[in-house]
Amino acid sequence: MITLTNIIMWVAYFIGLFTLVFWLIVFFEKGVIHTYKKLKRHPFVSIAVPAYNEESTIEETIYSLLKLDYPKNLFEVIVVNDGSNDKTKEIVENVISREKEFNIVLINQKNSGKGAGLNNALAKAKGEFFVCLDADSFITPDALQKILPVFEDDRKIGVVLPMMKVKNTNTFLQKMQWCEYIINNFAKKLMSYLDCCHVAPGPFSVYRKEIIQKLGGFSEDNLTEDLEMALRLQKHNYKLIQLLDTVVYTKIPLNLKGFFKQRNRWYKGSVLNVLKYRQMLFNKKYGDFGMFHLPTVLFAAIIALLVLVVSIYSYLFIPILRQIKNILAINFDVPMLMGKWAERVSFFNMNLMNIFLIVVVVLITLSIIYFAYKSHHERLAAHKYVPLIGYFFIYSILILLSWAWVFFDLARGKVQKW
Amino acid sequence: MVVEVRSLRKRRYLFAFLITAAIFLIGMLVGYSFNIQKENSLNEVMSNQRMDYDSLQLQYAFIDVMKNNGMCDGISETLSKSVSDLEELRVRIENYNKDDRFSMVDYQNLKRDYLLAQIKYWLLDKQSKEICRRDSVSILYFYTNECADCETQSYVLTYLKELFGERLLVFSIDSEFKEEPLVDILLKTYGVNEFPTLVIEEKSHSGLLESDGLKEEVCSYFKDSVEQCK
Repeated sequence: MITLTNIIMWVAYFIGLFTLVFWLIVFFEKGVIHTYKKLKRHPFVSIAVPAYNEESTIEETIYSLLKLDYPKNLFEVIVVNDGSNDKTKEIVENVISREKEFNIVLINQKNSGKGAGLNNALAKAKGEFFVCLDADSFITPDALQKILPVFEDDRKIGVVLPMMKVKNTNTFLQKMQWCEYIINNFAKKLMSYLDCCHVAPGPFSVYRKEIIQKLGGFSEDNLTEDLEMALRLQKHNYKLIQLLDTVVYTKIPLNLKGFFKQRNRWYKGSVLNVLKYRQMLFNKKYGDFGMFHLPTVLFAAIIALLVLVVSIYSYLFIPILRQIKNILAINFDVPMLMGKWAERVSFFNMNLMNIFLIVVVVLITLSIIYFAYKSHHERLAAHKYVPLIGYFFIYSILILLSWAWVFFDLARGKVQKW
Repeated sequence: MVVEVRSLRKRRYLFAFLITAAIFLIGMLVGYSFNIQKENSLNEVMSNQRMDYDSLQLQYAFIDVMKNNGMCDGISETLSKSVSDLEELRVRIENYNKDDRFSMVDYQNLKRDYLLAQIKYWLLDKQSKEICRRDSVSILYFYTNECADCETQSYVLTYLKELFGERLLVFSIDSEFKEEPLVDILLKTYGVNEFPTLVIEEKSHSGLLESDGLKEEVCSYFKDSVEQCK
């Protein structure tokens, strides 16, 4: 018997499997390419640090920049104080007076958001390259040495992204996110082979300043201005390159509340921005990005949610309702039937096709996780296996719930929420 | 101005599609070959059933001819067990049809075989009751796959069957199975036009009967005092 539930599940399964297989093919085709090139010349670099009430981390962030393996006189740090009402301003002023041999600039603006802050910094920036580093992120000293040579390959490269790792791994949720970041880096690396990156995350994305100025700077009224910029670069056929050779460490939410808030902003931002640039959707001019990846970004969430709703309805809600009705009809005398149920769970009642298809997807996912870890030179046992297993089973549900919340918000027209 | 068109390597997509389709195909083949196994085992169980029936029928005939009621107890047990085995088989056949979308090969035949067996046993039960003066109640249960309360009714019947053991015999008839003309005959005989309908001994009840009501009804037919009815 073929039901609507079956059809939805199969179509979703086919699309999901196809996507996994596709990116696995890309991986086997290209491998993980590392850059070992030396920097030929040292261009001037401007690093913007937007900060809103960051008194606890701002000093550490600035010092992680001062430790950069790069000539002191060839980079500047522009801290944009976005109307903080804590001690951010005083702390930065202190650092400036202490570290006189470095170029550190403090811009105070009244609270007007990260996009505006970045544009302010962009206007003051003297560098050939413009970098954005969130105040809750920290870099490793080799960052510029590893990132800048990549720009020499191609004038069309608009932004180069370091890999992101999670700095604070205290709670279980954070450990699962640690796993997620590893896998995301790997996925973005594969995407960048086909010029398919659709996001340039805040932490230490290095832009060619001339290009983003030509494109009009950062969007100021956007939930996710980094994603918007990435899509704008894509729209004008500039390239986004993901590196796995240098790390930026970033702090992440420690509890579910913070997590859901952050994901709500990210995912809502991605839906709204993909819709903003919908002319690229299914547009042949944009190659793999327009025809395949961008639709995936938009529809993956919709399909996943549909699957969630359908499976909760037909594999949980309906059977439970039915069972309640049955148990009521026999006056709760359930023990009488225990033996009967045990008899009915047999090999005979299994559906081997479904089992086979599930096993295949699990194996492919596991192999992708394995390759991702290998590309990061991380052992699977890092942080023990439990978070990885948690990532595999629980995390996807958390992500789906965040998506459900996003669609719920969008449906009732609640768009701007920080 | 040169209009830039970015690369789209179709071959990669084709390759991914072929691999995905191949995985699906292998899955279907695995499922299909397993179904053949299932069908074989169902057929085997069915042919054993037929043999059991023949044997039972002969045993009753023997008792009838020899007027030897001493053997009745053992045979009643066998009859009751055969009927509940048959019920297990019904559940299996129906689950099998629900789960699998590809192999309907012998489903109709299997189902028909089963139905005939049910009716044969029902008749045998009627005859043997007179021969052996057995104190049991038989229920003819008419259901359809779509009817809202049928699942609950089946559940209640399974429950009561567990409760009464060999004193209760249930014969389930899929009322939509028109391939077997006997179904129609039974429906007309008992004037069934609503589902679920239970024919307890010769009395017909339409609509869902929950465990309490059904138990009471069943108990009213026992001649001896039965422990479960107290």
